[in-house]
Amino acid sequence: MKLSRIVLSVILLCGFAQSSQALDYPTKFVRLIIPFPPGGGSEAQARTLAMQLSKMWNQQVIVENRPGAGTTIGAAYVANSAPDGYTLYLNSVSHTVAASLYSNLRYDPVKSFTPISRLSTSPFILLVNPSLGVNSMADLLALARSKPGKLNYGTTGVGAGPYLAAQMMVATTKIDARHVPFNGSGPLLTAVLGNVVDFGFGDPSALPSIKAGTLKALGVTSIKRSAILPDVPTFDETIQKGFDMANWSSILAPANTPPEIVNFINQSIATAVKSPEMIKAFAAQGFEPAPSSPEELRELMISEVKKYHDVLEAAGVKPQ
Amino acid sequence: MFATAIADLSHGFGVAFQPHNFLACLVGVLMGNLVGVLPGMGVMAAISILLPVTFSMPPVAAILMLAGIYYGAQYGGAICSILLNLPCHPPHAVTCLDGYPLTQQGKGGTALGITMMASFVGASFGITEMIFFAPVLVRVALKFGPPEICSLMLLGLLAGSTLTRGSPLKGVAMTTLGLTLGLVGSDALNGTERFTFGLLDLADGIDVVALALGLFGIAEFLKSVNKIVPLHASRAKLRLRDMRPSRADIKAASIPMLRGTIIGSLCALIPGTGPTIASFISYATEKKLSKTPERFGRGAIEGVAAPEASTHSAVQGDFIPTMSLGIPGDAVMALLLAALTIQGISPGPQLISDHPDIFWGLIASFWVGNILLVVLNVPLIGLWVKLLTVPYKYLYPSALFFVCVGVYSTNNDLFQVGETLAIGIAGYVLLTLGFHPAPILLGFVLGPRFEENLRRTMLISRGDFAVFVERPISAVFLALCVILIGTQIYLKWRKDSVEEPSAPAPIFDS
Repeated sequence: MKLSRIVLSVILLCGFAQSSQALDYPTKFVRLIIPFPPGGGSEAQARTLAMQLSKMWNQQVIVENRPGAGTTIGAAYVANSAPDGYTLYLNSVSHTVAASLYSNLRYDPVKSFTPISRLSTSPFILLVNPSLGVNSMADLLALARSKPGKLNYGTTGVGAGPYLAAQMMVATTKIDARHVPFNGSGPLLTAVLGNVVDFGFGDPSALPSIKAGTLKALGVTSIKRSAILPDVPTFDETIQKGFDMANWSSILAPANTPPEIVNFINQSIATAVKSPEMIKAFAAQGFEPAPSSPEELRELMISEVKKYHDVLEAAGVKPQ
Repeated sequence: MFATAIADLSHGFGVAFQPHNFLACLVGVLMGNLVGVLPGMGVMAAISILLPVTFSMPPVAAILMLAGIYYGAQYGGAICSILLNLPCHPPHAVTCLDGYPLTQQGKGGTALGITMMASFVGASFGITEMIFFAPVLVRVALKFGPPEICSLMLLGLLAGSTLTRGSPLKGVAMTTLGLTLGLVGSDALNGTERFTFGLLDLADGIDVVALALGLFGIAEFLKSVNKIVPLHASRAKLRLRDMRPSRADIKAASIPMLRGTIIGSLCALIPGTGPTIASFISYATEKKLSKTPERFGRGAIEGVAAPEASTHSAVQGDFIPTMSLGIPGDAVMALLLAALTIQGISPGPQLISDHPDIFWGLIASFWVGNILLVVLNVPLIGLWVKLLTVPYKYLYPSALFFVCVGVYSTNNDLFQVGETLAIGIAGYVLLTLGFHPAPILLGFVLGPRFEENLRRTMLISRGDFAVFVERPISAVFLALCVILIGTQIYLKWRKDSVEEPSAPAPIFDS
C-alpha cells in the first residue's frame, strides 16, 4: 500500500515534471549539418556547440559536413529533411546571399526553414601577402588603379560571405580586378600565402597567420572594428561610410519544426554560449557570441536577404 | 638548426612517454588499426566519433590520440586490399593490383610483411622530414599554385592510364570513364550541377570510398562467385615460412620502397594531393622504371612496397603544412585542427613556439606510434592470413556486410550503400569484358583537381596557356609528360620498324 503510494506519487511527479517541460526531445542523436568542408570557419564553432548541447541534452549531437555550391547543397539537404528537430543547420551569412546568386534554388532561404537562434558574429577580412608591399587600403586601391585589369583576388567560393564582401568592395571602389574562387578558407589562405592571388577575402581563420605576420590584414568588413583585430580599420572608415557586411552564424531547422522544440533549442543555445568552454573556443576562433530569439533571427534573415539582393543587383551580379 | 631540433625532439619524447600521453597514443593507433582493417569504415568517421571523447582530455593527449587514428588506419588499410582485394581506404586501392595476386599465389604473408616494412620506412622518412625540413618544405609547397598542380595532375593521368596490364586503349578508356565520373556533382567554381540527374544525393558527387569498394571489392566478389573452383583451397595451404619475406623479396622491394617514400613526401606537401594520389603515382613510376613491367599486376612485390611506402610517407608529411601553417591539407587534417581549436588553441605558424609540447610531443608520438604499430601488426600477420582459411562462402558475404555497414556509417546515408552496389555491378561487367577498374579510380581522383586548377589558372592568366611553360615547376612536369608520350611512341615505332610479330594482346586473366 505504502509502496504503491510512493510509486504513484513518483509517477505523478514525473508526469508533472514532464508536463512542465512538455517535451520529449531529444530521444535520439541530433545531426547538426554545416554547409562547409571540414576546417572552414564554422567547423570548430559547430563542434564546440555540439559538444555543449550533447552534454546538456545527454544525447549525441553529431556534426555533419555537406559542403559545396555556396552552401546551397547543405541548405537544400536540410530543407528536405524531416522537421522533427533532429536535423539542425548551422549556417553563415552565405545562406541569405545565395538566394540572390542562384536562380534555381530548390528551397526558400527564409520560408523553407524554422529560425531557432543566432549564434555568433565575426568580420570578413581583406588579406594581402606582405610581399605585395601595400600597407593600407589606400595603397591597395592605388595599386589596383595603376594596373587596371591586372590584379587577381581570391574568395572562399561564389556565394560565400567573403565573395559578397569582395563584390561590394569592387563595386564601391570601382577597381578592375579579376575574381578567382577557391573552395573554402584553407585553400584561399594558401593562395594568398603563395602569391597566387594579389589579395583575398577571408574569415577569422586567417587570424593565426595575421598574428605571425605571414599575412597582412588591410581591413575588416563589419561596421565596427572587431575585438579580434582592434588595430585593423573597417571598410566603413577606409572605403565608404556605412559599409557593413559582417558574417553571422545561426541555427535553423527545417520549416514547420514544432515551436516547443524550437524554444527548447533556443534556450539551450542561450545557455551554451555562456559556458566557459564556448567562450574560450569562440575567442580562439575569432567569433563573438550573439544569441537571439527566433523572431529576431527571422527578421534579420529577411532584411539580409533583401540587402544582399539590392547590393548584388546594384553591382550588376546576375543570378545564374 | 639540427642540434636544436634534436633537443626539441628529446623534449618531445619526454612528453610522448608521459603515461597518459603514451596511453592516448596507444589507444589511437589501436583504434586506427582496427578502423583500417574494417572495410569501408573511414578515418574521418572514426575521428568524428571519437572527437567528443577528447574534449575532456588534455590537448596533447587529445591530438596524439586523434593523429594516431589517422596513421594507424593506414597500417590496417593494406590488409584487406592484399588479402581480399577490398580497398578499405582509397590510398590502398593500388595495393590490390599486386597484393591480391600475391595472395592468390599463396604469398599473402610475404606481401603483408613487405607492407609493414614499407610502411615503417615511409613513415620514418616522413617524420624525419617533418623534424628537420618543415620550414623549408613549406616554402616550397607554397610555390605550388594552380598551374603547377594542374601540370602535375596531367602527368599523373598520363602515367597512370597505363597503370594496368592489357590493352592501353582500354586503359585510356577507363581513365576517361573515371574523369567523367569525377564530373558528377556540383561544379567547384560556380556551383552548377552536372550529371546529377536532379538527384540531390549526387550533388556532392560520387563518393570515392563507394567507388573504390565497388570497383575492386564487390566487382571481384561477383566475378569469383561464378567460378566453380573453390578459391580458398589453394590459399589455405599456408606455411609459416611463407609469411616471412625472403631476402630476395626484401632486395627487390627496397629501392621501390625508397622511391615511393620520396614521391609520397613530395605529394604530401602539394596542396590538394595526398596519400591517394601519392600511391597511384608511385605505382605508375615503378611500373615505368621496371625492367619487367609485365610482372606488374601479376604479383610484383615492388607493386606493393612502393605505393605503401608512399602512402605512409604522405600521411606523415600531411602534418607538415597543417602544423607549420595552421592550414589543413585535407579533411582529416582540418578535423585535427578543429580538435585543437575546440581546446582553445589556435593552430598556426606560432604553434611550434607557443605550444612546443603539442608540436614536439606529436612528432615524438609518431615514432612511438609507428613502432607500436609494427610491433602489433607483425605478429598479427599470421592471424590475418589465417582469415583466408575461412571458407569463401562465409568470408566474402561477411566482408560485404562490413562494406555496407562501413559505407553507411560514413555519412549515415543509405544512398551511398546503393551507390557502392551499383558501381560494383558495373565494375563486374567491365571486369568480365577485360577492362581493369584501377584507371577509373585514378581518373576520378585526379580529374576534378585537374579541371578546378586548370580553370583557376585560366582565370589568373587571362586565358593565356603560356603560363604553363613560363612557370618553371609546371614546365618540368609538362616536359616529363612529353618525354612520357615520346618514349611510348618511340618504343612503338621501334617495335614496328623491326617488324617483329607483335606480342599477342595480353588477356585479362587474373
